[in-house]
Amino acid sequence: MAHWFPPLEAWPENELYSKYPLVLMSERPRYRVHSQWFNTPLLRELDPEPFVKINPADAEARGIVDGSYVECFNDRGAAVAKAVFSEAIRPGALLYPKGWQLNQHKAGGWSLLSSTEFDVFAVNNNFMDVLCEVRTWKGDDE
Amino acid sequence: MARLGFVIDKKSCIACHACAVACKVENNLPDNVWWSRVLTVGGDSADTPAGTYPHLDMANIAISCQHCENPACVKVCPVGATYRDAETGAVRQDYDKCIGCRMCMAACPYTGVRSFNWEEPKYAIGQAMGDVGVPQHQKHVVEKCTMCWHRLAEDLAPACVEVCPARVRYFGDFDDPNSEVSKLIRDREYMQLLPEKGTNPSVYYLV
Repeated sequence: MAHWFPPLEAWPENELYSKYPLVLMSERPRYRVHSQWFNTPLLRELDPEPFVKINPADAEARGIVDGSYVECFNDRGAAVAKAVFSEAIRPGALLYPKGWQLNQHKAGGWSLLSSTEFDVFAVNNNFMDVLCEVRTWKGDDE
Repeated sequence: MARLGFVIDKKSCIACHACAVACKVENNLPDNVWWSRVLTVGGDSADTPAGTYPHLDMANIAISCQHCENPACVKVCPVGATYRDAETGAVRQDYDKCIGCRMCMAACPYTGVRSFNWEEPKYAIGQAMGDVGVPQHQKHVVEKCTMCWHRLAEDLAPACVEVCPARVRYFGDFDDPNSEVSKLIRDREYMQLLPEKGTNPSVYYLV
């Protein structure tokens, strides 16, 4: 029988939610198929580097400026990407186009934030079931 | 005599950029040169909407040379390098005559449709791509959409039209009342970009 059960992590009843109140999700990238063509020069002219879409209300509450580098982090790891303000993003969520290589990030990478829990039947990781927090990146911001 | 041009269905463009990439490859465009682009009508960044979540509004608009019937660029070119071809209505750019003064770029109201090779053109993959009929790109020369001039000679539609997976791009003769493009703008609501400039573009957007 089909049945519903709450997500392992990204759920308000999870204690971790008070520490990491943002749900980090990925979207299919327009200029790649998963990570395929990550290094195609022509496509990198259109889409040069990793970014993360954030609702402006969530960003402003954290002093994040549109277009600046931000660090998305949780207890497992972090990823640095450019913040793109978008009202299409539901407050409380962050959305990143997937498929970047670690060396294409200023630091970290998206997969460092996701858990290694997997469904025994589908044998796939829970890339959408990730809690995190975001802050302005203090690193090498040229 | 003809007035060749484009109809682009703005309602159905999905901003996949296939037109932009097809143009880039077909015309062997140098690094960082794009004659055909897709812009977002909405928020401050590409692919972001106007409005406040969840009440949003966004559209995509593909932009390249508008091949105007009354082109501002042609009037200012001091050497006749920019001209409107009488037979097709295409606005052309003669690389060999161009002295690189960029007056056409300043006069054109459609920002960004022209490119200028400040340096010797460079190519990411180190070899020419696209059609053999594409003229060599030159340093200190202004370039733009040619309507795929080399393909017109073979009776082929421009590369951007052929490749569009959403089938939003149409190409044809606006002087022929029976052409597909003439029928489209007869039957559908349309707009042209910056009509107040009096340029009468040969690119019509279905809205």
